[in-house]
Amino acid sequence: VLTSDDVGRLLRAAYATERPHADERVVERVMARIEASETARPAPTAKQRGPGSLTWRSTTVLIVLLALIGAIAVPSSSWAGFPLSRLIGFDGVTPKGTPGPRVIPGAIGNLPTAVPRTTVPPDTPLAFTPRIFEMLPGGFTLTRQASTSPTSVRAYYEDPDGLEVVVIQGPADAQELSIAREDYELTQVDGTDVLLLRNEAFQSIAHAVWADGELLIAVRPTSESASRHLDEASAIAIIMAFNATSQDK
Amino acid sequence: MAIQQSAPAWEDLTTADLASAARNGSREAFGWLVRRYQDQLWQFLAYQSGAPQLADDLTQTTFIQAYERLDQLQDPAAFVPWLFSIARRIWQMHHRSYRANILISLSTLGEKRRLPAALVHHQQEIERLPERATVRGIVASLKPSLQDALYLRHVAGFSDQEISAALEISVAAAQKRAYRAEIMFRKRYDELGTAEMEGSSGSEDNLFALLPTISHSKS
Repeated sequence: VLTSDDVGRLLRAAYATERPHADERVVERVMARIEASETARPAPTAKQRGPGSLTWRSTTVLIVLLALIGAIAVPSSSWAGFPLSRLIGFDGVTPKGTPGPRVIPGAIGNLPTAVPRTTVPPDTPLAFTPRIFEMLPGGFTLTRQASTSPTSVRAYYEDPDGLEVVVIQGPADAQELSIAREDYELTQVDGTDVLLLRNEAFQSIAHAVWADGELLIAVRPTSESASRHLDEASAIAIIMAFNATSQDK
Repeated sequence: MAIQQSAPAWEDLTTADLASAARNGSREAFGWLVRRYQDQLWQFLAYQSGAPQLADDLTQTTFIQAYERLDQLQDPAAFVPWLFSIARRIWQMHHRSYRANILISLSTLGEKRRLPAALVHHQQEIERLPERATVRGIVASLKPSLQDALYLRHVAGFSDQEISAALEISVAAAQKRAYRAEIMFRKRYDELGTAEMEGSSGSEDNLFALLPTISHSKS
């Protein structure tokens, strides 16, 4: 019978791989790339930045959301009437499809909708009031929350199957968000404009972003659960849960 | 009598001190972090990707991204698990980008001459070290989330808190995963040992059948 020490010994032996290029040159290469990257990156002017373009390290939320969403480009004129375009900078290309009410197939009706508020304090003083729930539809339970800046808070939820999602919130005027992918969808859920990105490999939702008043909210599987399925019905039920308790309604 | 105290050498500083100095803008401190953790990070990425050459590139990319995100490092003492969490994200993004290629590569297994270089490397390694292949095969048969917890606990030597930070899950979940992973590993290792004694497993064919999951266990 293996002991815990035996397991460690076996695993270390199995994964000890000879590293072909471990020397000081790696350090030099990394530092050279860092230096080159910093010198090659001039500080963007206000004109270059524009309302929806990326500014390096501007906010934590920006980086998180950019990693999720990327940069599209939609003529702002085409989307002038679409409320989310007030909060998200679209420069350039027309998206596929047109925004409109969405008919959701499936079992939203079967998902629990009770979402009591919690008063768990964030670990950083915030410049806004986040909306954190102890539970979300689909069996998601709050496991922890974190705030990396006064304008961003993340709440992590896990369902009984181990799928972990993160809900990121922040005041919309503090976020800069641009989208680099063309395969997004702009749609409406329960009267709310929502931007959806899908994980085509799994036919699931990779990211959903919507606004609630002046709050920008995004939900996605965490990187830990990146290969798991956040199905469309669950994503939409989560959006509806936020809507149901929105102070704007 | 005046006593002169010289500043400690970089190599004598703790990881937390180096990370703190790097976060305050010291490139030299960050260079020492690269020097100190490049091997451990490379091993982790080689485990994730199954491809040593790719691990070289991913290691460099991870350090560069870490440098660019140093302002997001809340606790300098937690630099290492934070670094690993960045490495995991980079590998996952890379893996998703090349998923289609990997699937095609896997479809060629069995035709040895057409194996991609990374798989050839593993095949040679497996033929040389059957027990090592068996252990990797057992790990690959676990759920990906359990695989990572097992690796971080036993190979990287992480505590529950560090696993939690690296996997971006709660400490309780990290503890549970590491425990479950170890139990599953022991169970399957014991089962395999029993089967080998009965002569029903452990053949070259069976090991070869494990190759897809060994090389690309994160798919």
